[in-house]
This record gives sequence, structure tokens and C-alpha cells, in this order.
Amino acid sequence: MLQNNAGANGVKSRHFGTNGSFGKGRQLTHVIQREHSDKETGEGIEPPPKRRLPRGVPDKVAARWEGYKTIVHLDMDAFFAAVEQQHNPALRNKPVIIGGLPGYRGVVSTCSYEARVYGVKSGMPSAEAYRLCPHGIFMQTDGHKYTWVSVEILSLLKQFSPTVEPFSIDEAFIDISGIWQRYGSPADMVNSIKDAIKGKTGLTCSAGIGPNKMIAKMSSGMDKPDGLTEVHPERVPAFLENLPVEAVWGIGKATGKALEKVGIDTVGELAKTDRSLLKRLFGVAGLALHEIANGVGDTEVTPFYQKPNEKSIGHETTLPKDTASVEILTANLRMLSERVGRRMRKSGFEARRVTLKFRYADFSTFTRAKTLSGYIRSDTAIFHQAMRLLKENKQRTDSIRLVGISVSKLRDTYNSFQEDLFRSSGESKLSCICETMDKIKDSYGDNAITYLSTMTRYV
Amino acid sequence: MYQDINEAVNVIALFTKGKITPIKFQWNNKPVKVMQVTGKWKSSNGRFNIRHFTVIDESDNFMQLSYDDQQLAWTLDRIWVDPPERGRAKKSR
Repeated sequence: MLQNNAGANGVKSRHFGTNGSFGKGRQLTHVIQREHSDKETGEGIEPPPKRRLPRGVPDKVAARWEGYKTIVHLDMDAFFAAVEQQHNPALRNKPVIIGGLPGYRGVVSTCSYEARVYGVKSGMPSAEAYRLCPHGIFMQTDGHKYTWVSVEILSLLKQFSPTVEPFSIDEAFIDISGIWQRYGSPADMVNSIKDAIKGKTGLTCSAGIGPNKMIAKMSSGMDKPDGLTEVHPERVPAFLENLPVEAVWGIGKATGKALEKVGIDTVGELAKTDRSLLKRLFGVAGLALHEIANGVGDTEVTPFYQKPNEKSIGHETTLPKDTASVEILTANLRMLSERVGRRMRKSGFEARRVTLKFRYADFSTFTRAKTLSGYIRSDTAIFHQAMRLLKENKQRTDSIRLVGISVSKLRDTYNSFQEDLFRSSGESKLSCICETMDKIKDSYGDNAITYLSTMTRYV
Repeated sequence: MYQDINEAVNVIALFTKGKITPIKFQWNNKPVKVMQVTGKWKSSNGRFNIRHFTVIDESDNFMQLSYDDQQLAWTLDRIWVDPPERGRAKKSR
């Protein structure tokens, strides 16, 4: 049984060992059991050649996946920055930082690996990124460009499996159960997918293979960039054993700290913790945490052609400057309710709950929601509820930094044939106006028509 | 850094099987030969589309062109200008 340092030898395909201890990325030591080799592979030793078997001939290691769900998570490496570098060769091998421009308010959306060397990270204020990497090339995001490349990649993935679930603009789950045999092994199939993506777009991605979406997602982050990590179902407990709890998909800093307080640092410890204790600490979410820690996760990959099960639709905006001006806040809420309303109607929903989010200049954030007696569809109804929530809950006269609106408790309008008996005639008329505005926007673009009151949204 | 140009340009392009490939265009009264199309994408403005192309010319200059489906017109959107290197010693007289 042999172990090696994963970060050092550049091995792309790997299986996790039963006695391994793992950390996120390359910061912690990875201990790996290479199942197809009995030789110790230390630093400086070339990894063995990639296994290539004739198609349809699963090898012994691969055969152990037989009968298990085989889920792949693909995560494009530094996607926005990589697209920019691919399109413009002058940007290659340079620190490219995508997001807010220095001098303006905004955060880093993503950055190239060359920028990460300087400590730049996603979500970091652009001003801080500039301080860390003043010679970085700062660029604004180009949503159309990235969406286009994302769709190209998605169409490629569909050629490999019909069960592809786009998870975000740069991530997707693929169910390759019963398909990977054509390629020899799950790893060989994923390598083929990675090669195809690189061939078509020039971009690299990191992949994780696991028996469920959670394990696949967690393993794809283990070896970035351009890595592939495979966690066989039997090795899930060993994979999770020594991971810090915050490495689990869904556990954030707050939950991590709460777990740390009760002496739970690793996923292994979380798995062994009494369920009743977790329920007492975190409610129903505690039971979910226990399941995750024991490797239980969602195995259903929702195919791209099925309507996503949207639970809420929302937009938020960081204001160019902190403001307490009611006029500016009103204009921004109008703009947000217009966007939320349009997206909601485009998706064929109507909503019964409106949530307002506002963040003061000192970063204290409040979220307030109101559930209505009936369903609403118009921008104006969303706007009025948001304004009511703001007036009722904004206790301080301090400046506001960010506002956001979301709608939830959604109902499919296409399937609800019966008109709501108690819907006010005013709401019906407003919905008709919105639908007319939608048609104008569909034909002439989103900026073709808007509410006059949105014009005063700039500070 | 990118320098916005936003100038209408005349382009010779190949329209084939639903694909558009710019071949050559004229800018500042000089012909620019497209050596490589490094990227293509589409943005929509209502029911009309704008097709964007990132290209490299003979002198390895990077440029971005766009074609408006509605106006049937090409625009040179922007070019890449290498930023001056920081920390370089000033030329002595």
C-alpha cells in the first residue's frame, strides 16, 4: 500500500486511499493510494502512463464502479479569466482580475491563477486586489461572452451523456452511470470529456467523480487546476475522515465555527457525533449535516431539458455610493423589482412571498420577508411589498450599501389554469402592463422600456 | 489594456453554413488581414443579435469586431494596447 504527495507529482487521475488524510487543495497533505500501482511514487518520479484499454473493456479498478451511481462534477478553472486569456493571447500567463475595476466599488468575480499567487481571491474587494497585485490586468465581466462559452461547453457535455445538469455558469453535474464502460473506466471517460472541452474551447477544468453529487463536488475542488479526483463509493468514509468541516459543500464559516465550539473539527468527528446533539444545535439542518458527514448525498442529476426546480428568484445591487436617500433607494428597488418580475414571468411563475435585503454601510445586513394572501405577478406589486418592508424595518437613518429583492413560494402560472378568485383587478391590470412591457423587451431589448422612476437610481 | 474604438468598418467576411468569419477589414485607411479568430460569441438585443469576434492581425494585434444582424453593419469595438511596463528605468538623454 503506497502513498504519495498528490500536489507534487501532477498525477491527474487518482483514487483515494482508505487510510488517507485529506485537505482542501494543495495546502494540506494528500495521502493517496494508487490502486493500479504497487510502486511508491515520490517527488521527481514520473507518474505511470495513463491506462488505455480497448473501448468497452472495463479494467479491475473501474469494474468496482459497476452497480454504483457514477456522478461527475466539472468545474471550469478560473472560468471568466481563462476565457479572456483564451480570446486574447496578450493576457496569457498574466495576472488577470475580472470584476470591479480598482477605483470603483466592486469585488473580484474571478482571477487567473497568476493573480492568485499574489493572494487575490474571488469575492475580495477590487481595491484590496489592486493593493495586492497593482500590476494585475483588471477587466469588467462580460456576461454574454461567458454565457456563450458556457453554452458551448454544455452542448459538448450533452454529446457524452444525456443527463447533464448545469449547476452554474462554470459548473455542471453529469451522470455517467452505465455510460463510462464504453471508455474503459469513469476516469478515462472524464479525461475524454476534459480533452474535448480543451480541444473546443482551449479551457481546462477540474473534475471530481463520486457516488453522489456532494462527493463529486467536493472532490473536484481537490486538485485544481486541470485535475481529476475519483472517490470510489467504498472509499467515501476515508475521503471524508480527516477533511475539515468547512470543506463540506454547504458548511460555511458560521456553521464551521459553531461546530468547532463543540469540539468538531473534522468531517470524521461530525460523522461520529450523536444525531440528537446535532439536532439540538442546528435543528433539522443538523440531521442533514450528519448525513453529509456520512457520505449520504443527492444522486439525482436533473437533466438540462427538465425545468429547474426554482425555489426563489432574486436580484441585488451594491450601490455606487452608500446612501440614505429615499429617492435613490426607491429607484433601485423599482429597478430590482422590474428585473425580478421579468425573470419570474419569463420562467412562468407567480409568487406569494417577497423578501427584501438591505445592508448598511457598516455591513450589518437585514433580510425581511412578507408572505401575501394571494399570488402576484407584476413588477409593481413586488415593488410595493419591498417598499413596505423597507419602511417597516429600516429603523436606522444610516446609509445603505446594498439592496436586494427576491420572490419565493412560487407557483407555475402555466399549470394554474384557474384564475385566482381573490386577485385584485388592479393586480390583473398591472400584470397585463408588465406582460406588454415584456413583449417590447423581447423584441427590442431590455433597455427599450422601463419605469421613469428607475432613472434616479444613481447617486 | 483595452482601448475602445467603436468605429464602423468595412469587412470582408465569409458567410457559410450559418457561420460568419471575418477575413479582412479596413481601418484608418489601411487594410487589416485577420490571421486568427480567437473567439466568437453572440449577444442579443431583443430579437436582434450582435455577433462578436476577437481576432489577431498579421502584426499580432488583438482586436474585437462585432456584426449587427439588424443593421447589417460591422464595428471595430476595441483594440488591445500593451500597458507601459512599470518600474522600467527612464531613458537617459
